[in-house]
Amino acid sequence: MPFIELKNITKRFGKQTALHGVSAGVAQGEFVCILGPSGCGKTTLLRILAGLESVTEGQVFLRGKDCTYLPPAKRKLGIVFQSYALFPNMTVRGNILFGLQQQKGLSRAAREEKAAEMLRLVDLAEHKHKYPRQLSGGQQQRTALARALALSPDYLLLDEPLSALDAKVRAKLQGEIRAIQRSLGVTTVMVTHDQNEAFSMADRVFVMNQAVIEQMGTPRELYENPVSPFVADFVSEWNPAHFRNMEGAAL
Amino acid sequence: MKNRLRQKFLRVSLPQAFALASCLAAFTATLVLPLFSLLKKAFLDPAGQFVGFANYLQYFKTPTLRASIGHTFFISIVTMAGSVALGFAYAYALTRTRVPGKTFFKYVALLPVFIPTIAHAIGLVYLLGRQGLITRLGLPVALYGPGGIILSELIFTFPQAFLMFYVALEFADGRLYEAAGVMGVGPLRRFFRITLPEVKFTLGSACFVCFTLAFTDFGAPKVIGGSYNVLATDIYKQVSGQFDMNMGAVVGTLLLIPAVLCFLGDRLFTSKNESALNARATKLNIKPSLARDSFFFLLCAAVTLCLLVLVAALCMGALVKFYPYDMNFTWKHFQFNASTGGIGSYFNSLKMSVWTAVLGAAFVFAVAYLLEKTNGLGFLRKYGRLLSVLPLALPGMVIGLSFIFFFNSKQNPLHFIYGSIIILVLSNILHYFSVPFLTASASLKKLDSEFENAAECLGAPRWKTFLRVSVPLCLPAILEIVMYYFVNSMVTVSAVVFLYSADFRIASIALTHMEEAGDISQAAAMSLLILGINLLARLAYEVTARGLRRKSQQKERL
Repeated sequence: MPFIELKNITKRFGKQTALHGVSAGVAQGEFVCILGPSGCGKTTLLRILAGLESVTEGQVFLRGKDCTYLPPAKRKLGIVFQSYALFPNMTVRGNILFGLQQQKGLSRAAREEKAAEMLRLVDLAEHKHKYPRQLSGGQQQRTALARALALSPDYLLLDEPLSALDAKVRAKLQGEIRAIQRSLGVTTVMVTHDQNEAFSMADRVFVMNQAVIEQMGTPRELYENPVSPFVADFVSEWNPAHFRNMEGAAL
Repeated sequence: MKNRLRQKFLRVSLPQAFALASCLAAFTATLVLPLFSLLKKAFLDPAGQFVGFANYLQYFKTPTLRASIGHTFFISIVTMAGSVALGFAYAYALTRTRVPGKTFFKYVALLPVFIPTIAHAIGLVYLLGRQGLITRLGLPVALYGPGGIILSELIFTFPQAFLMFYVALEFADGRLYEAAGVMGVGPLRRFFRITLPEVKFTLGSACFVCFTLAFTDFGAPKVIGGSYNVLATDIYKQVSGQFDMNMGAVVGTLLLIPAVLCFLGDRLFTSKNESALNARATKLNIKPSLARDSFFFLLCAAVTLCLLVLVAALCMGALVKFYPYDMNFTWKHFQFNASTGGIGSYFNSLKMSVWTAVLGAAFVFAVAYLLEKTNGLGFLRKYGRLLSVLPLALPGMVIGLSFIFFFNSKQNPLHFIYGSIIILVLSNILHYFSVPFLTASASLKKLDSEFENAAECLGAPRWKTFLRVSVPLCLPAILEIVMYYFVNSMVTVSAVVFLYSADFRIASIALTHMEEAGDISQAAAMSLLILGINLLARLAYEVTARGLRRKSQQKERL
C-alpha cells in the first residue's frame, strides 16, 4: 500500500483545468519529484497534498485512509513554500518554535530540545538569534526546512524550494536536503521545473505536462524509455554523465 | 451533495466565516439600516404618513432652500478647483523640485487637519472680519458670504488634496524621465506626458474628496456664511432649529449627490488603475533649476505663511483680553463658561477620541484582515468591500441624522446608546472608516499570503497567526490608523452635532456654541487646546513609528 495515494484527481479553476484525472502513489520513505514546465499543474497537485487546495473530483489517501477533506493541520505534514514564508518578526529559533508551541503535549524543555536539534540538523545553531532578513538565501531555505521538520511530520512537501537561489548554493543544498531526507527517512514530494534537480535528487520522478502526469519512473527509466516526445525532450537536456555520478555515489 | 459542499468549503473555516459574518452584520445594523430609516423619513410627513415626493416638492418650492443647492454647488466647485490646483502644486514642489525646507513645509501644510473647521473660520474672522487685523489695514474684504466660505473650505480641503498628491508623486520612475531627456523631450512636454498621466487617478479622487468635503462641511458656513445658505446649514436649521425631521431627511438625501455622482463617475473611469511602478524603477534625479525652485519656494512660503498667520490669529484671539480694544495678555479665556460646555467638554472629547481610536483601529483591522486573508466566501467579501468604502461617500451629517432616526426609535433594542458616549464613538468609527480601512488593506496586502498557510500547516489556529504575525507586522499601519481616528474624532462636528447630549458635551461642539454665544475668544482658546493635543498625538505617532522603523532596520543589519 502506498503511503500517499492520489486517485483520479481533477481540479478545475472556473473553466480552466489544472489537473485532469491524476492518479499516483508515493511509497513510505520515498523521495518523489514532480517535474514539469510552469503552468502544468504541479504546484496545484502539491497544494492538494497539503490540503491547502480542494479537489474538484477524486480522492487523496494517506496511510490508506481517505483524507481528501482533512484540513492541513490534521495531516501531520511539513511544507516549505517557494517564498519560504518565514515570519519576518521572529528569529530563526522563533520560527522553528512557532509550530512546536502548538503541541500542547510537549513540555517547554522538550520544545527547546527539539528546536535545538533542528538547528543542529540544518547547521544554523550559531545563527539562531538572527531574523530572516539577516540571513542569506540558503540559510533562509534551511530555516524553512527546519521549521517544516520540527513537528516530525509524516511527509514533507517542498514547493520549488531552491528556485530562488544561485547555482552554487543550489547544488550544495540539493545534496543537503537529500541527506537530511535519507537520515530521517521522511516521505518527500518536491515540485521543480529543473530536470537536473529532479533527476539528481529523486528516487522517482513524475513528469507532468498540461494537467496530466505523462510518465512516472526512476531517472534511469525515464532516460532510457521516455514514453512521449515531451518526456524525451525534457530528459535529453539532462547530462547523463551527471546521472552516472549520482548512481555511483548511491552505491 | 455532502461531498460537493465539502469540496466547495474545504478551505473555508467556520470560525473565520462566523467572524466575518458578524462583523458585516454589525456594520449593516449600524450603517445600512440607519441610512434606510433616513431615506424612509424623506418620504413621510411628520405624522408618519407616506407622502411620496411631497417633501421634495415643498423643498423645491421654497426659494431660500432651493437657492442653497446652487450655493452649495458653487462653493464646492470653486473650492475643488482651487484646492486641487494648490494641493498639486504644493505636493509637486515637495517631491519634484529642489525646494529647501521640505520637512517644514510638509508639516505646516497638515496644520488645518488638527483643528475643527469652525476654528478655521474663526481664525479668518480675526484676520478678515469687520475688526480683523488685515481689514484694519484698510483692505475692503467681503468675508461674510461665499468668499469667506470658499476661503475657509480651501484651508480645510488643501491638506487632503496635498497629501493625496504627495503620496502619488513621492515615487517616480527616474528611468522614464531619463529616457525622455535622451530623446530630447523638453520639461514642459515631460510634465504633460509623464507626470500628469501618473497622477491621473489621484486627480480624480482628489477632486471628489475636495468636492465632497466642501459640499458637506458645516463649520465654515455656520460661522462666516452670513445669510448665504448652504445645504449643511439648512439641515442643521431644519433639525436643530425647527425640529422638521422630514425636511432634514430630504436635505440629507440631497447631501448624497456627490456620492451618486462619484458612483457614476467611477463607472466611467474605472480601468487599469495599476501603478506602472515596478521594482526596477530608479530614483528620480532632480536637477537644480533656479527659476523653477524659486517659483515653488515662493509658493510654498506663501501657503505656509497663510496657515501660520491663521494659527497665530487664533493664538492672539485666545490670549488678549478683549480684541481689538484691550490687547493685554491674559489666560482668562481658558476659563470656559459652563453654559457652552466648559473644560469638561474637552475631557469628554479626549475620552471619546481615545475610545474611537482604540476600538476603531481594532474593528478596522479585523474587518480588513477578514476581507483580505480568508478563503472563499466570495459573496460576503464583495459585500464587505462595498460596505468598507461606502462611508467615504457619506457626509457626517447624513450619518448623524440617520443615527437619530434609527436609534431614537423606541422599538430599537439599541435605543439605550442614544445620547451616550457609545453612539458618538460608533458614529465616528463608521464616519471615518474608509481611509483607515484602505491603509490596513494595503499593509495586509504586502504580507506574503503564504504566512497563513505556513502557520496552518504548523498547526497554529488562525487567531494565533493573526496576533503573532499579522498584527506585529502591520503595527506601523495600525498606529497610523489610531492617530487618524484620534485626530478626526477631536475635530469632527458634522456627525456628532446631532448626537451629543446635554450630559456629554464635546469640545468641537462647544466651539460651535461658544461662537453662537459670542464668546469668540473662548472658542479660539478651545481651538488651541484641540490643536495642542492633536499635535501631541501626531508627535507621539512620529516618535513611535520612528522607533519601530529603527527596530526593523536592526533586524535587517547583519
